[in-house]
Amino acid sequence: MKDLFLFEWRHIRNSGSFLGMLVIIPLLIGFSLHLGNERVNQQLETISQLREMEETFYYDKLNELKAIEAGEAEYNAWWQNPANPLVLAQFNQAGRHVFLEPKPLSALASGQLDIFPYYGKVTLTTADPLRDNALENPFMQVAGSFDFAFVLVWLIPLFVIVMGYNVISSERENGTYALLQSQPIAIKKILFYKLLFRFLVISGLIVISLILWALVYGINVFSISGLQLISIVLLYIAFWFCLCAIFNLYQTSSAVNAVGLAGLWVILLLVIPALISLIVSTVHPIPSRAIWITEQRAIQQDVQAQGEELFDLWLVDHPEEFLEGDTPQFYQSWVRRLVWAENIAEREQKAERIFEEPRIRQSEMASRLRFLSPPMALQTWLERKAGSDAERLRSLDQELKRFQSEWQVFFLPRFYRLDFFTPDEFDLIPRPS
Amino acid sequence: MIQALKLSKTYNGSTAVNALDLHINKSEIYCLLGANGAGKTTTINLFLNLTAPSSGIAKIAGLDVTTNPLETKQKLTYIPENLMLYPKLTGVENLQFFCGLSGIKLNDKEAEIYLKESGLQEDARHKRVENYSKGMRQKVGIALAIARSSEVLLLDEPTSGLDPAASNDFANLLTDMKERGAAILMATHDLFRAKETGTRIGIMNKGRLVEELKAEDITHSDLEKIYLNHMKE
Repeated sequence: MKDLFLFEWRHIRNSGSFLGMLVIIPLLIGFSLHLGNERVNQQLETISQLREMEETFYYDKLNELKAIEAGEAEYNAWWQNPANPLVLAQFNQAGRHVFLEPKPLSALASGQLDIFPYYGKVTLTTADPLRDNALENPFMQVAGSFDFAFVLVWLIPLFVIVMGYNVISSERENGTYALLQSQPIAIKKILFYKLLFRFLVISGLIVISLILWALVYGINVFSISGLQLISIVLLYIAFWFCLCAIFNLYQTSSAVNAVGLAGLWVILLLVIPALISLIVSTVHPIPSRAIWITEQRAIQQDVQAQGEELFDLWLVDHPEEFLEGDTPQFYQSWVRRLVWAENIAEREQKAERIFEEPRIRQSEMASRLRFLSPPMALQTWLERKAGSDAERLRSLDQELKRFQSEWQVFFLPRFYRLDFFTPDEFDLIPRPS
Repeated sequence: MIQALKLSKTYNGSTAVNALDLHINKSEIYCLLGANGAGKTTTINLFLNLTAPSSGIAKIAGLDVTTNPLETKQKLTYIPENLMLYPKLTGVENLQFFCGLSGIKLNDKEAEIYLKESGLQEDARHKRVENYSKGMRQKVGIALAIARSSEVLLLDEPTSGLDPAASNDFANLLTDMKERGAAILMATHDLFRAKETGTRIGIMNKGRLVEELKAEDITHSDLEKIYLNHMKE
């Protein structure tokens, strides 16, 4: 084995394609991690800025309230009163942001982050995901994201194919096969050791580049997740080398092997995912987005039309929550607006099921079928490890709604009772977990 | 050392080798003559176990090649008509590699000694094989046989395409190998070289061994006449 490894080393060190890989692979990995790291830093910066903005808002309101209580300041309109629950829960910069924080391996895969947002804002009437400007960047739309997942899933197989497509076929074509066949060692054994050595060289190059660049960018690959990542990387490279071995076992030419392996690359990375997408959307079709927008408009118009009727119904159900008598004008109008907003939200949630249920079924089916394409399974795995998979990003909606309920439970009763805040109570304002 | 017992090979109904009986001893060079398609290369492939016999047995050093393929290959060196080596490696590195496949580890110095014995000039030994002539590559093949102390040499038209001087050098190397005790089976079209180098000469026609002669008992012109007569059959 040692002799074969030494020979293989002498053989590939003279090969231009290998020398090219020695430069290109570390550069590709480095560049992809650099971009990933930039993206994560941008997310962290956004999160930090929004948190700071939030803290500043409530800090300023607290100081304003203290100044008013000390007689050092006063407010002119109800929406300027920092003790008013509605001011603290709904207006201007009031409200809390809910974030999906980057995971330790987030720099590896941007996944669905160009489609789904990773944060949103909660007020009494809104729980909407928000976006950075990533989606508006036209080049991002054209080129997609260049991340480690792309390098590993799409590009590394091409390097493996270059290294492995002609391991035995080139022996036939160069005329050395006859001499090899006359040696006291099985050709399959020679093929195995040649591919094993090439596998060790390529995976060594990839893993070392990954570790070194990860150290440069402060990505912890020595965690359990990092070790899992390295194992998966090795498995994936081995998978492509196995395909090369299968082609080399047949007495085909190098050209046939190259075309065959490139064909498999296309099938596994493009054709099967496209077929899965087609099957899934045919079996579980999702109604058009236009229907959903029309439905939303219809709900809003309906609520608008039923305005007072809905409020009366609410009053019947919640007599204890509404203050009768001499209440401020804003109270009268805002109780109604909140009731209507709640009504719209409830109806929209019901209507959304029509879209959500087939989407869940699509997701489940795609999840089962993606194992037909190991590259797609790996892509999904990497996105999960990076926390940029659709499932996690979609969970932001639930998290926003969950926190909105908490926000409403805290603020609405106080607003209905016109129970204004004291400075000591500011610490009780909920924060997302 | 090299033995064929009623050895036959049929491809899609046509017989390439027909009930061949052959026995080549140590220190013997057996030259197999015959026209193209006579069955010479198939015979060598049968001894190399590159193709399975339809019937009969091929033996190397008393071992059936079909049941002991690796053991028999350990005892032989094969030099094809156009010995191709790894072009990006030097003569020394090629020799080290092929010896390594037989479990023989050679350092640079040892490899150089074997290449010197095979007659490869000194300044070529550390040059890439891509610059070697056919004769130089054949010498690396002989160096391999020397390094491995091969008991058997199977040569398939090794001198075709060589200039007379290189052909003569090669014949001398074979004689040297014979004197070391090797049993050599050489398929060739070269009647002159067969008579000069061979101990015995076999003539094959249409898969059959039709004539067997001792080289010392005949003249060049007798050999030519006998050969041509058989080719008319």
